[in-house]
Amino acid sequence: MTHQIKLTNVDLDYFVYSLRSQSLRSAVFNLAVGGRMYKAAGDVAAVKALHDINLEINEGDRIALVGHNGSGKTTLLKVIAGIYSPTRGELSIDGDITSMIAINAGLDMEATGLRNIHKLGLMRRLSRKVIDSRVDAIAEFSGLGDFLHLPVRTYSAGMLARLMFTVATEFEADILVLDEWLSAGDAAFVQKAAQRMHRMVEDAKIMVMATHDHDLVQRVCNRVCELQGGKIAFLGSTEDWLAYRETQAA
Amino acid sequence: MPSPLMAALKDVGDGIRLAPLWWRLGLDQTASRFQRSVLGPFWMACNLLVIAFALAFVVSALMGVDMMKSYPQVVAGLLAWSLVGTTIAEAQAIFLYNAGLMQSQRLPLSFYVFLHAQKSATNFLFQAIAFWATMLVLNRFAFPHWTLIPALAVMMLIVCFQGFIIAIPSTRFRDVAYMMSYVVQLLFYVTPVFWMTENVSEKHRWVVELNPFTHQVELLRAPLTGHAPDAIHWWWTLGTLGVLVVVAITLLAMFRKRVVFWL
Repeated sequence: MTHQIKLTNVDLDYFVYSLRSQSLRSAVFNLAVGGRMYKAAGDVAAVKALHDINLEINEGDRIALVGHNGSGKTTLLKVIAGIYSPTRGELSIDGDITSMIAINAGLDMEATGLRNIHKLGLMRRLSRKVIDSRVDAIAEFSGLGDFLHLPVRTYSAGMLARLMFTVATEFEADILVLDEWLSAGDAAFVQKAAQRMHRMVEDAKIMVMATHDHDLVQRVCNRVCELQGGKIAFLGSTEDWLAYRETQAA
Repeated sequence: MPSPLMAALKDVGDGIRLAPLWWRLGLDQTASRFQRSVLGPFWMACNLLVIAFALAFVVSALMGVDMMKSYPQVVAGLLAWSLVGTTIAEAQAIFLYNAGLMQSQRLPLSFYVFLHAQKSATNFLFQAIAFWATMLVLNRFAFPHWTLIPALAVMMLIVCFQGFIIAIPSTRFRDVAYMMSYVVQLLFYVTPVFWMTENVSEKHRWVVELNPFTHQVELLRAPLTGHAPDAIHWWWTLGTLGVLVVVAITLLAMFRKRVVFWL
C-alpha cells in the first residue's frame, strides 16, 4: 500500500466560543434579542484559519510547515491528523497516522514514564507484548533511563520532548505528525532525532512537522510548506525554499 | 459526500470497533483515579453502604417499617441508581474530561461515550460486590435473578445514548454541566430509590408511574434482590431507549464536527 495525504481546496473555519457564549443565559438572551447583538459583538467569532489549501504529500516526504505564530500551522496539522474536519474541501489519507501535536497529550502526569509508555502504546492499539519489547529501546534512545520510574510530572519540558518523540517514532506509524515541541530537547537530542527522521524515509514513510527552527528544517526536511494567514505562501523543495527566503529578505 | 446521518452511524460503528481500546483505557482511568488510595474503587462501595444505611434509618423511622426489611431494598435501589442517575451527572464531563486526547488524536465521538459507559459499569460491578457481600453478612442474601443480565445490557445502552444527549450540550453550554447535578438530585428524590412506591398515596401515584427512572430502577432492583421485574418496567425502559437512540443520533449528526471546537 502506498501512503499519501491529499488536501484539495480545504477551508477550515475555526469557531471561537468566548466564555460568555458558553453560558446558557446568553443563548436564551440571544433568542430574546433575535440573536444578532451578541454575534455582532463578536461573541462567536468564526476565524478562517485555513483557506484553499491544496497539498499532496507522498511517500518519503518529510515536509516542514513553517510560518509565523497564528499562520495556521497547528490547525493544518490537526486537519491532517483528522482532529478537525475541513469546513469545505476534500481530505484523503492513506496510512496509519501517529500525531504528537500537544506535548503532554495522552499523558497521565501522575503516572511514571514507564506506565505512560504503556498507555501511549495502548492508544496506538499495540499489544502488551509489543509494547514490552520496545521499552528498553525507548529507555535507551530517549536517554531517560531510570527516570522512567519517576512520575511524568517531575519531568522537564526537554525530558517530555525526549519521551514523546521516542515513543512516537519507536511504535511504527505510516504517517508521523509532529508539532514544534521537538526543539524543547537539547542540541544532542535534536541531532539524534534528526538522524532518526532521516532513517524513517528509507521505510517510505511520511512525516509532517511544524517548526520555527530553520536549522532543523534544513537538516531534516526535503519539502517545505510556508503558511501565511491561513494560505499557502510557498510550497516546494527545501533548496527552493531557501532561495525563496533570500528573495523575501531582499 | 456522505450524509450527516451516515457519518453519525459510522461514528458509532467506529466506536464499537474500538472496544478493546476503550475497555483497557477505562480500566486504566479507573485505576489512576484511585492511584494513591488503599481501598481504591471500594471507596465507592463504602459510600453506597453508608448512605444506604442513613437513608434506610430515616425511612424506617418516618414510615415505621422494619429497618432490616428496608435496608436491602434501599441498598439495591442505590446500586441501581448508580447506573440510572449518577451516570447522568457524570455524562456532562464525557468530552471535557478527555479534551486533551480529543485534541491530539482522531477518535470517533462515540469512543468517549463508550469509555464513560465502561467506567460506569466497572464502578457498578465493585458496588454490586459490596452489596452482595453485605447481604451475606446480614443473612439477607438472595441469589440474583437471571433477568439481571438482559436488564444490565439494556441499561448500558441507555447509559451510552443518554451520554451523547447530555455530553453534547454540556460541552457547548457549560451551564448545562452544572445544571445536571441539580437535575439528578431532584430526580433522585422523585424516584422510588430509597422510598417505596407502596408508601405513596393513590392520588400521587401517577408521578411515580410516569417517571421513566422509576422503571429503570425497578428493572435493576428486582433481579438484584432475586425477583423477575414486572413486564411494565421492560416496556417503559425499552421505549425510553428507543427515544434516546433517535435523539442521540440526531444530535450526533448535527454537531459531530463541532464538538471539538467547543472544548
